[in-house]
Amino acid sequence: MQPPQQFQSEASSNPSADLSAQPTFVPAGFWIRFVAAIIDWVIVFIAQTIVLLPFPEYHASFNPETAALNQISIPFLLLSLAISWVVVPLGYYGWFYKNKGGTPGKLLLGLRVLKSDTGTNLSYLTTWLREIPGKFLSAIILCIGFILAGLRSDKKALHDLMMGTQVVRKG
Amino acid sequence: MLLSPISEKGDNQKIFEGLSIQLSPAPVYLRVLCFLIDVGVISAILYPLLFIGLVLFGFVGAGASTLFSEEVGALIIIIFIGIFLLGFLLVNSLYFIYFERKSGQTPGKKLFGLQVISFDQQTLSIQQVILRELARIVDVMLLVPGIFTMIITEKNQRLGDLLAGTMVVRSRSEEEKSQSHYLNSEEFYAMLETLKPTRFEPEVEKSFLQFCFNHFTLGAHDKTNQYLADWIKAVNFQFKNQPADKYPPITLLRFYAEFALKSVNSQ
Repeated sequence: MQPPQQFQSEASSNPSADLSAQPTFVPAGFWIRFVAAIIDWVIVFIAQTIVLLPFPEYHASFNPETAALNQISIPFLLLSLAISWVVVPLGYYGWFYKNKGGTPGKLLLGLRVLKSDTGTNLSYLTTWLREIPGKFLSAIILCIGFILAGLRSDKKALHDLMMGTQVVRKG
Repeated sequence: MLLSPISEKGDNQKIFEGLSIQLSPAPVYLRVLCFLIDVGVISAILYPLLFIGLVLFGFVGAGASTLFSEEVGALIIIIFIGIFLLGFLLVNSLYFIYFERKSGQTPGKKLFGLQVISFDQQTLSIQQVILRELARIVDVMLLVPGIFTMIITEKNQRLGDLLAGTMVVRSRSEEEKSQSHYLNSEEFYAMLETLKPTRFEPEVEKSFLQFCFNHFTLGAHDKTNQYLADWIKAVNFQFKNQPADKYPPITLLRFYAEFALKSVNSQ
């Protein structure tokens, strides 16, 4: 946070007040983040459904002789699960956090997810670690990690504390 | 934002001539993404209603099953699901009609700076909006007809656009508006053109961004005020050969913070 040596003055001079009307941000609380997460879940769910449409194995076809739905092979099942449960959500969260500073649900409500030291956007790896192990640990004991966001003054949930991130809202 | 009316004749270059902001036909993948986002928003609003309704009708249906017969109970639940689906389609249409009539931008389109514009008038007329809505029934059938016509037409128009005489454009500057953090995007790009800044060294840039995040975003002035004057000096030093004097020091600091943030984010 300190400026380079050559610009540091002996005594700190009179700091001027910052009153210009510019975008300001405040830490975002639990409920607005919850609503944003619901929007994101729905969008990811729709996208997951769409990417599975081209797989003919998922199109139910009834065979009157065997009276059963068509068989699904194991390699196919793994491939489709990998696409719909790994590629789609990780791509969605990773791309939006890296390039936009938040997922659509968050951006529509004016929220941003930023690194809590420099205020820059998250990298793909940080996003993925925050989403999978981070939110899993937040959820595992009665969702106490998420509730933490409502209790702390800086509104950081457990996964925010672990990954060093901060969710802010346009104030 | 309202765009000036443009003529349908002529090539793309000619269409965008005279507009102060750079516009291009919106790419197909962004239009699909924006549509999904909009449907996601509507669904997120309506899902709680579906759950509440299913529970209520479940009780009513179970009661009717025991009082009358199972057929009556099943019928009640089927009627409810039918009403919900019709209601969903209605809300969906009203959402698009309302936002496209109002500004040509639904919330999903706004995120990416997309806007529906009409070829012959300033804003879309109600007939055009309704025509686009009716054509959407065909366009979104497994997403196939809409995407196909968007790919083969020059201005990425789907059937509804062709019928109503509209197109969807993408404006980079509109997209940037939602991305501004320390300084409004108009002011930022105006200053960027005149000042042409260069970046700090990586370590200096990191501590500068830490300072700006604490000072402007988190408002931790008790920690940061002691460095404020020194950072203003350091930023002024970056512009030593340029006409930076006409801007107030705080605006210059915010401009340079936005510049550093954008540089790091686009790495």
